Amino acid sequence: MRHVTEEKKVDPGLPYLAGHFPEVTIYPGVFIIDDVERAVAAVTGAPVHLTHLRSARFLRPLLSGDGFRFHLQITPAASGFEVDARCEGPDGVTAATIKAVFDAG
Amino acid sequence: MPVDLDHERISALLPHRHPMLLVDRVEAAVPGESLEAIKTISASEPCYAGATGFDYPAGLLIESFGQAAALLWLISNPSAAGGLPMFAAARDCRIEARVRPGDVVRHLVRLEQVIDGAAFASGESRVGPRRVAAFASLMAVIKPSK
Repeated sequence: MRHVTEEKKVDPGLPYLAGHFPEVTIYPGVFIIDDVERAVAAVTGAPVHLTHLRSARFLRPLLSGDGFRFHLQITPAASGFEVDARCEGPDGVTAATIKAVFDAG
Repeated sequence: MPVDLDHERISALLPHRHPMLLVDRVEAAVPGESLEAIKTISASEPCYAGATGFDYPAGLLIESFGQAAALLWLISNPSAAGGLPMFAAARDCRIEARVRPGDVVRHLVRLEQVIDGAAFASGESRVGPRRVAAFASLMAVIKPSK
């Protein structure tokens, strides 16, 4: 099992933010799932894709420009990796938790 | 039931806007029970800008299904309209096949339960006859817009 911590920031230039939402900008929680996928690919050095989202909880919204930090536990599995991710918002409070299987390829 | 919502009517129900409005049309719905919506994947979506891959991001596919579920909630409970439907949780969602530009994704949503301002939905997404995703449970809450 590997433990990895990664720092990220909600990029205010992300085109999708304009539509989520016009009145208040909130980083779409599902984007954290794609961020985890990219982080796993970067750490393991090969492409992966989500096949099974065991659970996801979005506990606190992240806003444009917010820094956040991932704590990832990556465990090799039959066809890829079991990943347990916790995402901390700028105040250190847990913003999201994700448990998922990512297959190689 | 003859419910057919085009993009204009969808925009009146959901606060999401381009390019984050990820449902193109609702083709059938039974308020309080079920809904069928389509989303056409386009190579001109921002996720493909400068991208080296062609698979539609799983997060956007799940979001699109979640927006279809939010539409079912909103047409079932008009009093829920006006706030921001926020994705709160998901359990046991499987992505069974990859989706690419040109695919027309059909979301089949069932509303399982609405309790105290939280809605639970389940269902699946298909491209043609093929199931591409299965969703055991998605939960959304309404956040006041201000």
